[in-house]
Amino acid sequence: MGSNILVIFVKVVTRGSGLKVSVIVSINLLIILLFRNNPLTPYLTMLLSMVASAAIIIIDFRLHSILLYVLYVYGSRPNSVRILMSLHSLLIASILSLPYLVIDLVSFSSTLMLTFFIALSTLSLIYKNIRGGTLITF
Amino acid sequence: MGDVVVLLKDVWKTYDEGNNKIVVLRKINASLMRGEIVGIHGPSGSGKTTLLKLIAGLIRPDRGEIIVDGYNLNMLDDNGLAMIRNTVVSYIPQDYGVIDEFTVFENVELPMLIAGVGKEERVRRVREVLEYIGLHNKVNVKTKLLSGGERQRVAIARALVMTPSVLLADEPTANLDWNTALKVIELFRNIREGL
Repeated sequence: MGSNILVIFVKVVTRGSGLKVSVIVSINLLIILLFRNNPLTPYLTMLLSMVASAAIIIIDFRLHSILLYVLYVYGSRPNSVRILMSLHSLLIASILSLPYLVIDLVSFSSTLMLTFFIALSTLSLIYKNIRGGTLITF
Repeated sequence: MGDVVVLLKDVWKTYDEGNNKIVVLRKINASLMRGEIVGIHGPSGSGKTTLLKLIAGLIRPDRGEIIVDGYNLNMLDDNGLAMIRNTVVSYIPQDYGVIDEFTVFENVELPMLIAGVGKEERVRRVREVLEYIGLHNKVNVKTKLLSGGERQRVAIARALVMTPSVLLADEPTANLDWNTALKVIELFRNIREGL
């Protein structure tokens, strides 16, 4: 049985977190562009991304729970559902990291980049586990 | 009426609750015929939903055999059960499981996306089933804008789109008013006639 898992993935991103993540990344990039010489800019954008990540977890939780439930009920293999969850977490973490890539290129602040990456990966992992937990009810 | 489509042989199911084991289903034996409409009733917590989930291949029994349309579910691995859920049995959850952020079309096409059906075929089959179910004028409407009865029909359309042998509905009229509930029952009768 084939699986259009990527089509479903694109739908989830565009209908769920896609817009919210794009907006927050745009704001961050704008802040970096306007205040790139301010030493507080990296911390402000980091804070913004963290708050955005937490907001996405809360706002999109219902959508993701129902979607994963429906996918399972209508014949997705457990591995396909896990791949979808991992892809989504990875994408969100990567996109939210974009402003830090810019900061890194501008200021070569590898410590900051590393701190951010660890923090965001932890958030992604928590998110993935929370959503994964919804499948246990089956 | 025709052949047996669901056969349950000595089925047991228990759940762990802390240190206790709760027996939800005990030695269930039943046979359901093709084309038959069967209602299961009982008090809350008596195992109705568990029984439906076992037949749908969503969970596995502790003991006993479940044979659906000739497939012995005990013999199937996770991929096999996924195939059964996609093509042989359709389960409509009590809360319908309709995705509010998606349109009617996108909700109904989901099982076909999972099956890897091509776009043209998906469009044709979704339109066909929505026409049958009476939602053809709401194809591109987001489901959060629909009434309870319409959302229920979206769930039924999604369950029918892969033309399953067995349709399982968990308390299909529980959240509906009397008139809408009667219409849904009538729809199930029509579906049976159409199969």
